[in-house]
Amino acid sequence: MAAIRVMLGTMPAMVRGILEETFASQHDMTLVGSANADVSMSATVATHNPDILVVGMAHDEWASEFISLFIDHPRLHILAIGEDARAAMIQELYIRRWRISELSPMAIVDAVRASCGVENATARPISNTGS
Amino acid sequence: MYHEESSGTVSPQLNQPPSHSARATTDREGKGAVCAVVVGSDVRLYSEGLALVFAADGRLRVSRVAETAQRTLQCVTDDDTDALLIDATMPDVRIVLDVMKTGKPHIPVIIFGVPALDEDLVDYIDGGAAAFVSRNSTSQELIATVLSAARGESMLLHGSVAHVLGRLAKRARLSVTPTHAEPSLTAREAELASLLDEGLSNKEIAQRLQISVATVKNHVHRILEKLHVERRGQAVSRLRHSMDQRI
Repeated sequence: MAAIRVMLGTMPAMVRGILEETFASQHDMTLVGSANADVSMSATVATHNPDILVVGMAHDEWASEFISLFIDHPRLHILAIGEDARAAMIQELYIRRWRISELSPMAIVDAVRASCGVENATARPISNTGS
Repeated sequence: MYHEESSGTVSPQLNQPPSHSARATTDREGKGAVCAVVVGSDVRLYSEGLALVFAADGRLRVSRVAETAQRTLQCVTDDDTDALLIDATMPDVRIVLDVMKTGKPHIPVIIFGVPALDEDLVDYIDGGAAAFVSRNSTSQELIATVLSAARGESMLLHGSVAHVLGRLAKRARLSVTPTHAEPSLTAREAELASLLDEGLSNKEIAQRLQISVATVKNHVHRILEKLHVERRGQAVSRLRHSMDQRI
C-alpha cells in the first residue's frame, strides 16, 4: 500500500517540529512538503499532491480558508489543529447518495428541498460513500 | 546544572509517554551528557511531542511529564531533573515558579508558549524563570534554550527585550511602597484587582488585558493568597477597605 502523503501547512514552528518528528516515525506516512508563505496553499497542494494537509489555525478561520482549497482539490483531507493545540478537526468533502423510495411528484420536490438544505424537508440521506 | 554520567539513553515512542529513568545519561554515540527535563503541560501534543523531538535530537530527554502544577512539582527531583520546561498556558504557573524559586533554585525553569510581547513576561522573570520559548521557536531553538538554561544562562525571547524593559519602567513608576498593614500586590496584580472591583469575570479580564484565562486565574489566585481571603468578593472588599484607610 502506498504511503499516506502528508503536507504541513502554516502553523507555529514548535508544532511543526513536533509533527515532523511524529510523521517521520510512521512507516506508512511520508511528508511530501510544507506550505510556503510566498506561494498560495492551493498551489503548494497542487505541487505536492498530498492526501492530507495538516494546518494550525484559529477555529473561526477554518471555514473560509478551506472552501477554496476544496474547490481546487476536492479529494484533499484537511486536519486543522486549533490554536490551543488541544483539539483538531478533520474536514473533507464526501459524496452523499440518497434513495428516494415511493417516488411521487411531492417526493421529488421534497428531495429537491432537502438536497438544497431546506431544514423542514423530510427526505434524508440513507447512505454515504467516501469520495 | 547538568553534568556527564554514563548509562543508557531513553527513547520515547509515540503514544507511550516517557518513563522515569536515570538522569543525565550519555547519548548513543557517547558524545556528551543528556539533559533530563521535566515537562509540565496539560496539552498532550506538546508533552508527548516534545519527548519525541528531544529523543530524536539526543541531547535532551524528557524524564517525566506532568499535567498539573502540583504534579509538576512532585516530578521535579534533584536526582533526575536538570531543567523544568513548563507550558505558559498551564494553570498556576506562578505557583510552580514560586515553589521552585524557594525550594529548588538550582533547577532552571523554562517557560514555553510565551508570546514575545506577553504582558506576563516581567512577572515570570520576577518569579525566577530562567528562559522563555515562544510557539514560533523552532525545535532547535527550543533545545538550545533548554541547554543554555541548564548551563545556568538566562535567555529572553527574541524581540522581547524592549518590551520587558518598558514594562519594568512602567512598574517602577507605578510601584507604591505598601504600609505594613497593606497587601503588597505587584502593579500587574493591582491592575487586575481593579478589574475584579469592576465585577469583570475571568474571561472578560482576559479579553481586556489580552492575556489567557489561565493567566488571569494565576493572578487571581495570587491576589487571594496575598490578601489571605478565599473569594473574589472578599478580595475586593479588603482592597477597598485598605484604600479607605489610606485616604
